[in-house]
Amino acid sequence: LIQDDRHLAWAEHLDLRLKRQKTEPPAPRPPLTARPTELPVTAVETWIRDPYALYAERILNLRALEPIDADPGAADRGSIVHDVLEDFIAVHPDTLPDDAERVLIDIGKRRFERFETRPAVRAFWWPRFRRVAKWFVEAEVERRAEGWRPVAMEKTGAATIKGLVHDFTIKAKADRIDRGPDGLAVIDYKTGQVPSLKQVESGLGPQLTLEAHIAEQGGFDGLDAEPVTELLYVKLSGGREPGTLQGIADNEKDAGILIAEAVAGLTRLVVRYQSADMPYLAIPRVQFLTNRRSDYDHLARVKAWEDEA
Amino acid sequence: VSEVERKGVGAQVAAADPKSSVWVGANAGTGKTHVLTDRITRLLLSDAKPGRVLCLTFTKAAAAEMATRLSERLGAWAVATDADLQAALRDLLGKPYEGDLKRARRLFATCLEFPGGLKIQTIHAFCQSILARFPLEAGLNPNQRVMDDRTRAELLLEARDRLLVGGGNESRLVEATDKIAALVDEEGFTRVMEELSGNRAKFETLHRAHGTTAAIGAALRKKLEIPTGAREETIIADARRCDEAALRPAAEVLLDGSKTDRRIGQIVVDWLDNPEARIRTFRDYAGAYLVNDLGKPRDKMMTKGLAEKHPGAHEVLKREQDRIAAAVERVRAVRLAEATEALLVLAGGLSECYSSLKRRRGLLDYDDLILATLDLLRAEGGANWVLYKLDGGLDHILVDEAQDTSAEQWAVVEALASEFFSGGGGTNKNHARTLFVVGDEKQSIYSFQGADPEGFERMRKIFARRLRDIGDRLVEVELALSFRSAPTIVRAVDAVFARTKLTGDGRSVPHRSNRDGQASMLELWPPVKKSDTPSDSPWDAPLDRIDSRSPESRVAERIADTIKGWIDDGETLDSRARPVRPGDILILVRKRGQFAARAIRALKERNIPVSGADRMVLTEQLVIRDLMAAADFALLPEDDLTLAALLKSPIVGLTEDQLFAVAHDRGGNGLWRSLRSAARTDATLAAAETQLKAIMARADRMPPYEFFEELLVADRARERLIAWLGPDAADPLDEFLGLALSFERDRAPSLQSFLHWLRAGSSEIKRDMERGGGEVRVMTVHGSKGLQGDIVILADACRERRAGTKPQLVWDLEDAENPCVYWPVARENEVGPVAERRAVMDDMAEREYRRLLYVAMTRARDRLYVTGWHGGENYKAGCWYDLIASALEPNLADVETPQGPARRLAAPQTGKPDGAENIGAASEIPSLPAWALTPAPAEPKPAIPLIPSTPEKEPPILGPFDRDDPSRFKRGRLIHRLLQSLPDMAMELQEEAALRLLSAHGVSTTEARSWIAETLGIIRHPDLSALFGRGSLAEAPIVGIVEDRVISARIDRLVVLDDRVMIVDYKTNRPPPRDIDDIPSVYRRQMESYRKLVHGLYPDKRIEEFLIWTDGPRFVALSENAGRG
Repeated sequence: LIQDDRHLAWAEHLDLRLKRQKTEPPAPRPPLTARPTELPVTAVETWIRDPYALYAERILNLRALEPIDADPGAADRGSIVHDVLEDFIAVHPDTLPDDAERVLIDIGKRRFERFETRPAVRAFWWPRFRRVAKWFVEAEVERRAEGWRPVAMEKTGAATIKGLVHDFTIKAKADRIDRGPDGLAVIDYKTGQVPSLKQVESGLGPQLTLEAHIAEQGGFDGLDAEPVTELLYVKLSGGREPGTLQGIADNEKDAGILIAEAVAGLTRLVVRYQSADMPYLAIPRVQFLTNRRSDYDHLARVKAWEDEA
Repeated sequence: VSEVERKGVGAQVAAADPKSSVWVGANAGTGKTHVLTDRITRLLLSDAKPGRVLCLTFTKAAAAEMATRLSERLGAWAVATDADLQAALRDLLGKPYEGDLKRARRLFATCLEFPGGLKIQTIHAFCQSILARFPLEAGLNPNQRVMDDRTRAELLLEARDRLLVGGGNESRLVEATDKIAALVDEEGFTRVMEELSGNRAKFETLHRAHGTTAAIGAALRKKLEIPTGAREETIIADARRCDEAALRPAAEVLLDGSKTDRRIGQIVVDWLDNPEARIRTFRDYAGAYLVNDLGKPRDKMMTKGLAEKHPGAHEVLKREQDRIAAAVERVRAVRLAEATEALLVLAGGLSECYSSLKRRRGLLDYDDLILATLDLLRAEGGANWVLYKLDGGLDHILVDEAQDTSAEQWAVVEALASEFFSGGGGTNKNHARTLFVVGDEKQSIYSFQGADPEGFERMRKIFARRLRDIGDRLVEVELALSFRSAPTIVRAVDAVFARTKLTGDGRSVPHRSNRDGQASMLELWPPVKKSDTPSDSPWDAPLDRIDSRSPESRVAERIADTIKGWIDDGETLDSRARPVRPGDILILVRKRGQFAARAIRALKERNIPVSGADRMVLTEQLVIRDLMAAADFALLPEDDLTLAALLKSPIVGLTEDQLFAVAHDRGGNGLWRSLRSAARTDATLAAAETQLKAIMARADRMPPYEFFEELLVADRARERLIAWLGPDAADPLDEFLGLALSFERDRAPSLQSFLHWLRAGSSEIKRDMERGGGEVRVMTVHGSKGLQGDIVILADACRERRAGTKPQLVWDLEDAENPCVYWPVARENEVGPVAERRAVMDDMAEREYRRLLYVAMTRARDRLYVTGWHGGENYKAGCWYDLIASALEPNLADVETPQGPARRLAAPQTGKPDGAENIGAASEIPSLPAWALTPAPAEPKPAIPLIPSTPEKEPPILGPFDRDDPSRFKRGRLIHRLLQSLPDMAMELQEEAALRLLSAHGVSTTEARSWIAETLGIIRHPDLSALFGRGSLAEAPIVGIVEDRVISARIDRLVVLDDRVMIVDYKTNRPPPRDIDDIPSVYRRQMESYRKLVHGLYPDKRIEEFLIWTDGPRFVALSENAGRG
């Protein structure tokens, strides 16, 4: 065997032939004309947490493809539950049938059919869904008794912030809006994590408040402007507590403050990005980093520059 | 030799005594491996049969190391001088050797010649070999294979899905699944099932004790004191009935109290007022008495003033509180029982599915190896039969690292040794059977793999008793003298562990160092805090990134700067009397986390040699994601985001602005299309397009390895990736290529399936870090077992014990009559006996956490540096850093290092350096030769060499009626022989030698004389004399490339002269042509290619070619002027 250290040294030389380059964190400053003038409220959270992800998705128009053989994940479960509840409420907007739970379960059966071939999904999601259904009917009975009636399910709406250099429009698809004795309730169903009151207050969870703003402006189709008196997250896990009502505000005053703060905050954000030297930075504030893996961290080359002095 | 050392060596010698069974408790660094090798050597020296010695080690690496040490020693003995051998034997035996030196010399051959060699192996390898020899007896498929972790995980998932599909018809399983689905999602279920399958032996113990799942459930309920049939609903229904008459007035008292009193009072009143809703609202009601989800009762049920005024009412409420707390406790116990029962039902089903899958595919997992061997050995007569077939039995068993042996592994050892204790073995001293166990409970750190730290003590007692029963005894030896750690380190270890329990019985052997007078030091660096994050409003987007360097990073940088400082300044390692080298340094962490990667990067950036990560998940490395993006793009160019990532990667290298220009506002077009149209007007983009097209084209026709290799080398992507991502990217690249190669070996080599395979498994690369070369090593404490470093840096000493995930299952196997397992699901359900068991488990985990520190500290020879990071204001009490700092506090001196302050405990060098080495001159790194940067020429087309003398076209064959002469061929062949050999002989001998040869072949003397004359006529021909003269070569092989073809030939005669080269080829079997024009073209072409080959070698010389027809013989000069030089 030839023992010759030269070859290893040469190989190393080859690797290091080019000068070491430093990867800078991306900070694109696209021209103002390229920047979005309308966004769905769900994108606002991305904007806050990871502006570069918003840039890649909305300005570069790059979206991740769903892998063909991916296991259905949390998002699928969420969308099934949403669909079933939408179907159910659409048929029974006013009074509930006596066998509401059975009706709900029948709708669920149809929606779950496409997962027939995935044993783990059927084995785990289906029992969870049944628990959700049971809880939901009980909670719904109580809610209707309090005088709430659903007036919109999965309805789209928009509101425009005027008086800036450019107008800015936010759009939303509200899971559900109820009308009660004193005003509207904006409701969001969550099958996963629910934002805390603190997150909503600070602006990190702006979905409900901005949807409420749209409602108060009369921005939802066929729904007149009315004060919002309730902001509510409904957590549907199907676990030991199959569902929880997590109220964010339950009167006009509290809701009003939260909504006003969110609109003011959003306006500040919009104004900042209406300046040409405002960059779309990648996760500029680590404290707002979520555990969710971003589709855009490879494009942003996060690993090449994070943690560098 | 000092007294201390004499004692230490004495203990070693006693431990190696081959006549007795010995149990060795060995502190770290006291020469455990040394004792083990000595003992095996002495066993062999006292005539033990190599095949009857079994030495069990913890890892394959340890087994290999032991075998190497042994064969090195025995190999040296075989050739040593008598004096040297005597001296070596005296050291080994502690006294002069009286036997025959020849015997010692022969040991090497004895071991070599023994079939299968010495049995030095891991217990898994040993069990595997047993099962392979006795598959029928063990009830196994004879072709079973052991599966790797990945296959095992895949098989478990498959079993899970089969269970869930097949179980649809079995109501028991459906019920259990429904129950569990309410508690965890499918990932949570998979996790708990994995934990369960990792504890299979325990699970089986449970089944053996109880028989059925139902019986385990009953035992569980008994332990938890739950009446049979009790369910959550029945308990709450029972709790509905209360002492209403007393409770209502008490609640009304509350309504007059403070705000809190009133709130609680209202809950109680509401509950009392609505008897029909009491079950539904029980939870709210319980909330009046208990503080939080853990169900702790409130300290008091009334505010102080009110309670003083109404002591009676307070008393009533307190009684109700007790009653409710008890009911809630029962509810939790029921939940716990139901969850556990459901889990056991599914686990039973899962384990059946898994076993049947394994059986069908002939696979075994690591647990199977142990458990199946154990069954085999425990069967009636099993051990005897197996041992008898194994070279007639085992006489000596040695167990290394005994503290990390699991209960089942001990059972295997016990079964193997059972013969030893049946009497007879110990009494006959000529045929002694011995057991040797060496370990250190203080170093037991593998409980997550089933190690049983307390088993070490337990088994010692068992074996001691067994030996006593047959009139023998177990010699117990403590090794306390460290040959590794210098005094300061030993002192620190003793100080830290004087106050900390490491083992079950808390016994601790004080350490001593054999290295007095050697410089040593322990330094504490202040831990790094997480930098405060400003609490600005999410809405106020920042213009700049906030410096967010993680504390891990800052620790890694201080370490790297320190090491760089040592190397640059030539810091002296006193005990070796030379400067510090990277290979002296060991950086240890409890968990790899982000830190290991950061540290490796920081060191590489500073040009300090560092061995790569001992573990990494390839697909998470940015450089690998870049490569995979290239492959993904080639397979699916429509994937815009992946293409964008590839464009920005160093492989293509577009800037953010260039990407914007291509990607923004591209209408409905895909990015690839947009890039191609933009490439028409932009040179950079055009280059990118060309490159991408080449990548796509390669993906169509190349297997994975070639695809990536081509991209990295031919496209030079490797250099660019390393320039942009840093030198630490080279390591994952090489691993990745290795993976691609091995994938191609085992599977259909398509790029698509390779990518899929990569993504499906997390492809974690694991590597053994052996004794370092010249590199800094970064590894976990677990990985450093058995290793040492002159300088050890303990980098994450502030990490808390709880940083890991807690086991979900709580086992209660102490009670052998009624063993149990609990699955609490949530902390709140850990009631009564479960909480007690959990506390015991926590305690054991805490001890293991400290043992890990013991292992970490004792890796150091001369210097130990300790640092870490934490998230809070201060590091947590009880963390490693705290344990060390508080134990050494009064003795630490404040010092300032170039990288900041530190606290130090040190002892100077007072003795002679005990590790002085010759300092070899640093080898010069050769510079890169020019050819390394030019692409290698393309390979010649037909890679198989042509052999020119195999003519392309046959010349006409001699007709059967043409001058028929049967000896013609014989004549040609023999003349060929003469032409070949005669020229090398002295001229006066040629004739006689030729005559001898020809007459031996039956040629008549007359005929022979005529042939010889003709042959010599040629050899001595003036034109050819140089060809057959001095320095000429017969049958010269030559290989080369002529016109893109590889030619391999043998030139019959060749001579290289000053100005020319002469070559000749002999032709035997044809009638010689009459003149030069009659020479077949094939021969001309052949000679032409020879000429070119030779010309390639000697471009400056003239080439002369000849053909010699042996049939004549006669010769023809092919080239002009040939022979006239």
